[in-house]
Amino acid sequence: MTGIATLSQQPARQELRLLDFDSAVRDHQSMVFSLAYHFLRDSALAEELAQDVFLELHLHWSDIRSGGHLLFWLRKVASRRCIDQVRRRKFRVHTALDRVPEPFAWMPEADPLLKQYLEQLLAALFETPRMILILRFQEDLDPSEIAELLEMPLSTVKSHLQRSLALLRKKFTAATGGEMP
Amino acid sequence: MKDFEDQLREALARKPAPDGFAGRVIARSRRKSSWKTWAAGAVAASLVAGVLTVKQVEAVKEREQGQAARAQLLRAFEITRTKVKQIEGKVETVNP
Repeated sequence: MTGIATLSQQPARQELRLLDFDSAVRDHQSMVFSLAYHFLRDSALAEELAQDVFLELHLHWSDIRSGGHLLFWLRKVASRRCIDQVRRRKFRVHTALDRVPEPFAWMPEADPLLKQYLEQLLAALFETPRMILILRFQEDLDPSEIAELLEMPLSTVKSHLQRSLALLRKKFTAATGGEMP
Repeated sequence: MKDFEDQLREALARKPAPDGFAGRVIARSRRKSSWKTWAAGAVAASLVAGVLTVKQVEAVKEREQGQAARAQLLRAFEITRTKVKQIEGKVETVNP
């Protein structure tokens, strides 16, 4: 039997359902692809990496014990592969945070340029703080969950979060004419 | 005005995977599975062939050893027969 019992993401319902590999891919494709896309900022590379994550899952399918474990496993493997890929290929976007060009005019909050600017700022961060911010704001994970996922001390995660957020906020506030909170 | 963290959350919202992504992953996983099945079959077949070959070689060796032993035994009988005849001849000469 290839199916496993999985818990729904909503802990209140704790709904159990039967899940097979194909359903796991369909259910979590957006999460894995987005982690890779936000980290690499390249759609083709993100798809390749996400596919490799799911193929690795296929190899380890018998090790998956529950839906929660599946989600943890996918986030962990995707994060690790993203960081490894950038380090191995020296694929880092070499724009230092200070060199990210500031927009020439104040941007209204709904401006897609603003979002693009934020993505540029994020891409200028080093691999670990970048992944920590993505896990925090894409996946809405607590610092303790991020620490467990990336196998690093909680204090390190918290310090990366604080420093990166302060840096990004400073740059972002300057770009929006100091009107951001 | 939105809070900075909300802006960040919005910029990092999940994006849908490209069209056909799941299909491509599932197809690749099946190709890998079928390749693995084929490879496992080939390995198993090679093992069986190897075991059969070893057994056949052992059987030929045993047959050859058996034939050599038989030849040695026949030769021993022949020598014994010759010796016995010689002894019989001598006995007849002494006691005609």
